[in-house]
Amino acid sequence: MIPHADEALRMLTQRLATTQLPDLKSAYLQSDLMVMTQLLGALSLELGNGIERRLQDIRTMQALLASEQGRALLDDPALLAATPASYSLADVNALHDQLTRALISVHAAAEEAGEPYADFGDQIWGYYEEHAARHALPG
Amino acid sequence: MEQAAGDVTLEQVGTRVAEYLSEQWQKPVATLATFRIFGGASRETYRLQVQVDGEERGLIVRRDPPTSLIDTERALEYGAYAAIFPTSVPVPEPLFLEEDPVWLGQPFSIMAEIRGGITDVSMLTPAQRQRIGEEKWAVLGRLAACDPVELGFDRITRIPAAGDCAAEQLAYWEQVILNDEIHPQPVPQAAIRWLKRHMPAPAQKLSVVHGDYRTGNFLFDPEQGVLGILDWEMCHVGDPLEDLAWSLDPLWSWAAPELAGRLLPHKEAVKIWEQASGLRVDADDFLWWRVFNAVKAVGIWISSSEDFHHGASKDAILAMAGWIMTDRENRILLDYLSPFSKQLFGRVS
Repeated sequence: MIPHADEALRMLTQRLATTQLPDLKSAYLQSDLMVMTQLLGALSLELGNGIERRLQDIRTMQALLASEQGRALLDDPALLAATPASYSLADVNALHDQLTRALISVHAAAEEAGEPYADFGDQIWGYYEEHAARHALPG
Repeated sequence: MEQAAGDVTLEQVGTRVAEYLSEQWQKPVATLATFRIFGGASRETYRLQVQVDGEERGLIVRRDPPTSLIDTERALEYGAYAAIFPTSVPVPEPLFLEEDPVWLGQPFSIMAEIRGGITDVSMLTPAQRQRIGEEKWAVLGRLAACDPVELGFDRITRIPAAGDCAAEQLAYWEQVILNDEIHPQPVPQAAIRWLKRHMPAPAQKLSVVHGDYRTGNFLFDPEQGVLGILDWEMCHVGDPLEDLAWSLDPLWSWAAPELAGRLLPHKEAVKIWEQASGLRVDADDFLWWRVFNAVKAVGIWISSSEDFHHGASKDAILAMAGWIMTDRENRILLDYLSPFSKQLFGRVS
């Protein structure tokens, strides 16, 4: 087992940025490697927290869809109790995508329904804000 | 050895372009130096120093990659340079468009290099920022004032009806997002629904729309001013407010949202554009184009991400765009549309 994989990736990225990058002679390769180190830094954060952040999203989306107004507009009630097939990134992503598609559809239906669903629509926007803050990339 | 992308080395780009130019100009051409320029996400871009008739000449070669950030037609881009070059909107002089892949393995175009031009505005003094900013939006206003048909754009692209510009652009980018998204995109989808409920008035006039008019896509000299507008691969004929709104997208001034493109206060940029174009900016229509442009940007960024993740290209700039820019553009859309928005970006228009 790789210990503290996220930290290891972060440190390797720092090494690339501080010791390898300055030695490159080509301006093109320097710029290319600089972008790669930025991306590797973002990946190290994702490795450490990505699954937990998705699980928080999943819990919030299920709570929204389980509300009285959410249930009234939701096509597939089985999603309310769905859990990921495993805690692999692929399986967590799969459920996250399913719920996101359902939420998009419910949000559109809430907008169509007008005033009675206005507060519910605002709650969905609140989740979008929360999601954006939770997944914001550095830099 | 530094490689060109794909199957051609950097050295081969230099020698083969020299052979090509020798044939075109019917005189010996020698390549003195070849550099690949970083960041040209839609085309591979090279700077060449060549010697011809005993004189050194700088050239820019744009080669089609196997994939790119923006799926575009090279003929349209080259045609745009050729059409704009005689006008007061400065662009590099287009020299050749070569569709035959026999030379570089892919089609390519060659333009004269604009010597001394830079794109980075971060080191400018406040006075230089003011001057470059004024010129940037005056040039865009002059472009908006041009008649696309008089420039010959009807020969290289379709001319839409003034009342269809917004709907056509929205339909195009909505489809790009649906086709290329790796994960569903709830914020852009909500924005698309908002755009459909708030369609703008028909364009005041049809103009040439650059499509990516922003800091980073024009060359300038801090003292001489704007030298050339680059990267016309997304140009089309449409509503000139589209370009103005794109130029003011908060993404181009992320660290300093009060300055459009890190150059001028937004209101000042709009005023200069209005004076140069003779057009006016309706606040509601302009908001529509700002929201639209954030959606369009998401379309561009997730397309690049799709190319990266499915292996069409391993260029890091595509992943950078797909991850970081999509994240930022989603935050911009939230700022425009969320009932909980702090109006960080909307307030400055």
